[in-house]
Amino acid sequence: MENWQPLNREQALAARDFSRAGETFIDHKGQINEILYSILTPLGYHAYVSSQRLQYIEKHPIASKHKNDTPYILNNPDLVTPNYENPDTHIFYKVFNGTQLLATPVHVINEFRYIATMYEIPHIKGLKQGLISHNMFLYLRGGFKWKKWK
Amino acid sequence: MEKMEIRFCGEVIEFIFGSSKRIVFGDESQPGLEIGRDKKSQKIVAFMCLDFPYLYNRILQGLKVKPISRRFSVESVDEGDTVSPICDPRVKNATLAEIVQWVWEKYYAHLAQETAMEVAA
Repeated sequence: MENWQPLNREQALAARDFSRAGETFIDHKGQINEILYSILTPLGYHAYVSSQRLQYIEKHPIASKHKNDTPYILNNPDLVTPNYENPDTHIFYKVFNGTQLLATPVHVINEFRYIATMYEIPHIKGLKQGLISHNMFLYLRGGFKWKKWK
Repeated sequence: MEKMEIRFCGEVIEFIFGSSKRIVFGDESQPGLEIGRDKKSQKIVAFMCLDFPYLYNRILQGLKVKPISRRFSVESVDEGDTVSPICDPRVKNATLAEIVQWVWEKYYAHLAQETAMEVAA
């Protein structure tokens, strides 16, 4: 098993794994996605990034500015939680500039995990409503003040 | 009545009906849906579902309990590589529940049928 290490932005870009680039997978809508790269996450699995998902992210003004941060967000998130509405989906959170919280949901098909989208979110999903509690966190970066985003 | 564009990427779907340079999608206890607000004005300009095939029933049940009274006219559907104009009267001056139902039938229901057939085989 590969050893995960938290990387900075430049290191995460350099650590992208292109070994399956060009291969395809079919998502939950039956659409074909072409793999660009994957990156090792702190949860021990690789998350795959497809060209279709990056094109979709590019349509969102905020997220598109952070398109190149995708490997960094996946490798070195501040927090990962399950989506309480569909716990197989993991939501990777990362704060930028201390003021902007980005959410990157990662879906799964047969243990193959891929990013779904990326968007700005005001709070950690479900925390305020008590639908997620801190003991359900899948990963918490040391020093991250998650209560600020409740 | 507001004009709406529907954007897909696989199982992620967005219903966009207002212009905004900065949409923030938050969980506001509307089952299955994230509520998109313009960050500056705080006006609701979009809804998003992260996993429509999985959450479709939850959205419809949620809209019965907590209805959204606005009405919409779907003008186009963006499927990533193609944007199609929509003239279907079913989604003109329609509720969000009616639009969700239409999206399911037009774009996703065949997947559930195929899965059921595979299981049966």
